[in-house]
Amino acid sequence: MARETYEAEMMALKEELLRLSRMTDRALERSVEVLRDRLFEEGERLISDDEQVNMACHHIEEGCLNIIATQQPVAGDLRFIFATMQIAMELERIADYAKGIAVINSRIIPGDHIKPLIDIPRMREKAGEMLEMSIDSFLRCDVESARRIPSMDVEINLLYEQVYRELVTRVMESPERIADAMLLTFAAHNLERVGDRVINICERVVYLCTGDVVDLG
Amino acid sequence: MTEDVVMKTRGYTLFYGGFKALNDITMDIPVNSITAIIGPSGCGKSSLIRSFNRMNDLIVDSRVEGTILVDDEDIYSKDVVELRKKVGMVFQRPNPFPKSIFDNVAYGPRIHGTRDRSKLAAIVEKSLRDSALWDEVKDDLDKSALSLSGGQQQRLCIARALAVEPEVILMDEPASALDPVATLKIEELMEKLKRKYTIVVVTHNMQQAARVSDYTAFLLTDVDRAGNLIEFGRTSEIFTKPVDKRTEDYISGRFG
Repeated sequence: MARETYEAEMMALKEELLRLSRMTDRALERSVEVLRDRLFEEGERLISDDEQVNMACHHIEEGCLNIIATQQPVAGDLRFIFATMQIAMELERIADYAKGIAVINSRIIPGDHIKPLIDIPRMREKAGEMLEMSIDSFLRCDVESARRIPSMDVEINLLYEQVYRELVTRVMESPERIADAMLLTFAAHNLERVGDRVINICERVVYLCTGDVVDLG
Repeated sequence: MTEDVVMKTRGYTLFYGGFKALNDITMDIPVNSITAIIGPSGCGKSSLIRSFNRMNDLIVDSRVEGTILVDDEDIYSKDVVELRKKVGMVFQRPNPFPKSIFDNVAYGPRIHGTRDRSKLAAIVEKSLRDSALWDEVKDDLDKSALSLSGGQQQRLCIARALAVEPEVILMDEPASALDPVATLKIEELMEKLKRKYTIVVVTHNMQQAARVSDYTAFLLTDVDRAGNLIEFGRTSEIFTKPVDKRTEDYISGRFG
């Protein structure tokens, strides 16, 4: 006996989650462009676009709750619904970090940064790569990949420390720009947190595939 | 599993004539718990639960291999009346005797030799209290059992099983002929009863198995249509991470 409606509902959720992950990834990319190139109007758009991400996340949550209420999922299906809901929330938070970076940009006085942004875009690239791989591992239920991805976070953390050290040195040279330096540290911190959120996604993928609750952080 | 075990099957195989209905079933039923037996129609669920108090003996040509132990005693070396005192049964459709409520519950103890009216009255009250029926019938004990509603009749049948102080209560689809409220009452009752007894329940209703049981046994027929035990484990594990793909497919409604 095939459960066609049920299967179709779960497939639709998978597609929605993929769409949400693309929105989030794009928001992250735009946020660092906004910060690097001081794009204030684009930053405003990014901030208002976050509402769409929130709505997409809520829509996935509703879909999950609806399946729980009407289809009584168990075993792998139940783990899929639970993982989807959790991953949607992680993606929504990652998009919030992107929005936060646009807000930070609006608070830093127009003009050149206290230092050229090199490592912050690198952090974003690495985080984006991790994010994409984690969603791919979810879609393919690739537990091996989900277990490997978290090791990439080390690089993001090292870059974060580097950004922090460099900004501390710059502030010593130009103490009048301490506020800007702090704001840039916050931006880097947001990207550092993205890595942690992706690790959470990987943990959900391991749960989805094996039923085991793991700590990969 | 480290729990105390009240009933064990060891390589239990059941034939009806030339037809093998159950194949090599080995499992342990932990004491003071509810074990649900699930599986698609014809998988041998009812044959298995009926084996536990040797109801299949009544079927001409039935024959068994392996064994079933209750309290480490082979059920085939026991007197069947004694066995059924220890291992009681409640059926799908309530089947009270066409007697008074009192006489239904007192029936078993009388057969086992209790004649004293006040002793019987005490047993009847205790059994009806344990089956959560006392408050509804205490003023009508002389009324016919057939005047009760379906749900009440089923609880009366449970009281009748309890009256002989069994260790194990077998329930074959105990709620499938009842409405949702009566079903809920039976499920709540099972939860209370497991403190004193061990319950084995056959159910077609997967959600009911998930709700009420502590352990789940999943049976499925093989190519020869013999029922095999595919997976046995804690219900919370079976319904979140079953080991066998066939269990997963069955409980998630993909076949059966």
